[in-house]
Amino acid sequence: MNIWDWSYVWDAFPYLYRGAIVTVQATLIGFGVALILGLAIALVRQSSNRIVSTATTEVVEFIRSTPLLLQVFFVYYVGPQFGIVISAWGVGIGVLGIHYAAYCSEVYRAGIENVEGGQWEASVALNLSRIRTWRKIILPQAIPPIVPGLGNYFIGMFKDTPILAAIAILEMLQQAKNFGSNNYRYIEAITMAGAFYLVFSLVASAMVHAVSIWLNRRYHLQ
Amino acid sequence: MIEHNVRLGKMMTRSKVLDHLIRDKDNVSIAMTQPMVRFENVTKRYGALTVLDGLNLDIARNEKVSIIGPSGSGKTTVLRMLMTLEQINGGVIWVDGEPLTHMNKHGQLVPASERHLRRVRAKIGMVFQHFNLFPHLTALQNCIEAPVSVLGLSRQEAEARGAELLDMVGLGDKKNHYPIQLSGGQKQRVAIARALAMRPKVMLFDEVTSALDPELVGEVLNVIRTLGTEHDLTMLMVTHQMAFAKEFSDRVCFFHGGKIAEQGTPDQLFGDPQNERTKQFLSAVLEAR
Amino acid sequence: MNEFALSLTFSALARGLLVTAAVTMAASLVAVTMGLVVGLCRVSPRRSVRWPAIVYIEFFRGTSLLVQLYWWFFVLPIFGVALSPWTVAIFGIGVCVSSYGAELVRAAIRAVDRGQYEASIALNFSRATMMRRIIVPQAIRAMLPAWGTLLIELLKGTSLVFFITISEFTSSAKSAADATGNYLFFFAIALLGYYIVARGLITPFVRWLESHLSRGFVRITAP
Repeated sequence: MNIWDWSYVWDAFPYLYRGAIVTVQATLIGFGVALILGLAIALVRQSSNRIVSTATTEVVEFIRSTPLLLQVFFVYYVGPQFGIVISAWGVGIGVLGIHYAAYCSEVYRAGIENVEGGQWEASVALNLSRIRTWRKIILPQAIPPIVPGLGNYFIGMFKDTPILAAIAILEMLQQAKNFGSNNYRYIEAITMAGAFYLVFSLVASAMVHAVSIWLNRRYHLQ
Repeated sequence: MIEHNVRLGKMMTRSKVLDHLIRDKDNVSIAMTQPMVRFENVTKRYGALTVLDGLNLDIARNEKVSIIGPSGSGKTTVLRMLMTLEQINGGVIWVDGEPLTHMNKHGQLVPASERHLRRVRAKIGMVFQHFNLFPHLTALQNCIEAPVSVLGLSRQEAEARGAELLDMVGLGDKKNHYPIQLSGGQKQRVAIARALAMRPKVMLFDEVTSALDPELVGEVLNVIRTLGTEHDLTMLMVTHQMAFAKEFSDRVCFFHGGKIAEQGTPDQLFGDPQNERTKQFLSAVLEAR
Repeated sequence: MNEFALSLTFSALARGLLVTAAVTMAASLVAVTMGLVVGLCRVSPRRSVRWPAIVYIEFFRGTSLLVQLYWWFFVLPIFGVALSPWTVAIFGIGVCVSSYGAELVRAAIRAVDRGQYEASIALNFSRATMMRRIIVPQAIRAMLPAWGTLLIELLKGTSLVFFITISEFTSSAKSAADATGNYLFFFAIALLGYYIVARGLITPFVRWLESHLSRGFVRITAP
């Protein structure tokens, strides 16, 4: 028996391809949710209402300290107990999005807090409204520097998608494993899946780097 | 009680100073109208530390007032309170006859709402020590953002006004530059243009030359000088440039320990200071030269 | 459901928690050790030392933790190396997390003030002495908070051994929930359990280390 058999590589390809599409879709949609929800959480945390900001901080802490897998289980299984049935796909993307929104909100927060206090003061002196100040002055300065941080979580989310297999979503790694157990050959399929994650991570981080440079230049921040 | 008498005494000297100024400037109408800015018994505390203690200060329309004093004397706080960057712990600030920090509700003064604050502080513009230009906007965009979004000017109007103001501060050719491409002196001149674009009646200058390299101080002071002579503006500045304060101001206030220790015309205060603290401060500053 | 079965479920849950704790601690040891070693290699001026470290970091950070676990678990046996699920869990998770840890080490060493390097050169320290006596002690203190976050990530990562048939906290909660049908109750307990271990044990432990090391290595100047 060969250690590496190319014929299995070709046979595994369709499986991996189907899985890869699911993986990429879940990551893209999930990250869209995380980006928007994360910003919303970060803004709510800036609220001057002590109770609101503290409660939000605690929820973020809780989400960040518990395993994604368990959160997926929680939403997927507890809902039906109360008559709320959500499709596995909906739960998977939703929980991925919420989990990473908690992380992204921290990144946004760092970006917002890094904007100099003087920018707020100048906005008051120019009598800009709060909403206008956020939209035109603070966020355009806060976001470009944190693109690398957000990008890291994008890649992190991609690498976490295999967890969705636990609720029977056939993403790439699960497809690889299924191929392995059908053929009693794991090495090719799992190695290929691994290689795909590695390539995706490297390409994505190069892309994030490029976007970050472009944004910083676009907004003339160093 | 003694405190109170001293304060009363000061208020009397101040009104004399004003009369004197008014005759000097041959501008009779000011005596009739209310002051442009009035601090009425204003107190500011940070925790246990009292930064300003029952400040009373009137500034007349078009008057140029310099505030000097050692660091920690509360002088910058005066400007920041007037710009509503700091909340006050007691007293009332009036701008152009209206309460700024408070509003009239059924004949009583209650703390101002955000809406009231925004309406009244539209009369005030401020230039900061560290410029606080918006780094992601060009010089011109810095000057039109607020006129468009706050005053509701059309883009063309705002751009025309912005370009005119940048011309006035000598930066007509730099209007498409970003702050990072400008020198400190140029940044500060853009900041002045940006504040003027909002057509304020009162301009506040908070140590505007302190962050500049010495050779760039002159260009900024020249702009301020031009503003003072050519425009109807009430100006209040915190400064370390004694020579400029002396030449430019109608009145100089020396702050010490959260109070006005002494005030008067530049000639009085620099030529013949009465207060021991003022003498010490001035001789220390002059020695440092 | 009778009381006997219920007590069985609870004891299974408690055992799961113990397994999670054990795997977390053992994998943490692996992660910290490997992270320090690889991180120090990563900042070495010697290319032959630096490059393997870069490959290690990029490889283990770039592939998913679960892919790595599968690889250790399903692929290595083909080469005749059959690792027990426990070994896979501890080393698989430890090695993966160590690649993130190595980056923390690198960042912390880079962040030590340039003046410290210059002073060490001015005092004619050897590079080894400089690293051991001057740079690393300062870097360790600076990187501890980030390690605290990383160890919480590690704790969460242990839930993935669910996929390689070890019955840890998450999977025992799931079996208990499956057996009783009360998903809310058991999953809520599990979530709370992880939260308490993370915020009640790991975070305070790292804080304690931080203050302890500050006393031992770096004198905090009074403000």
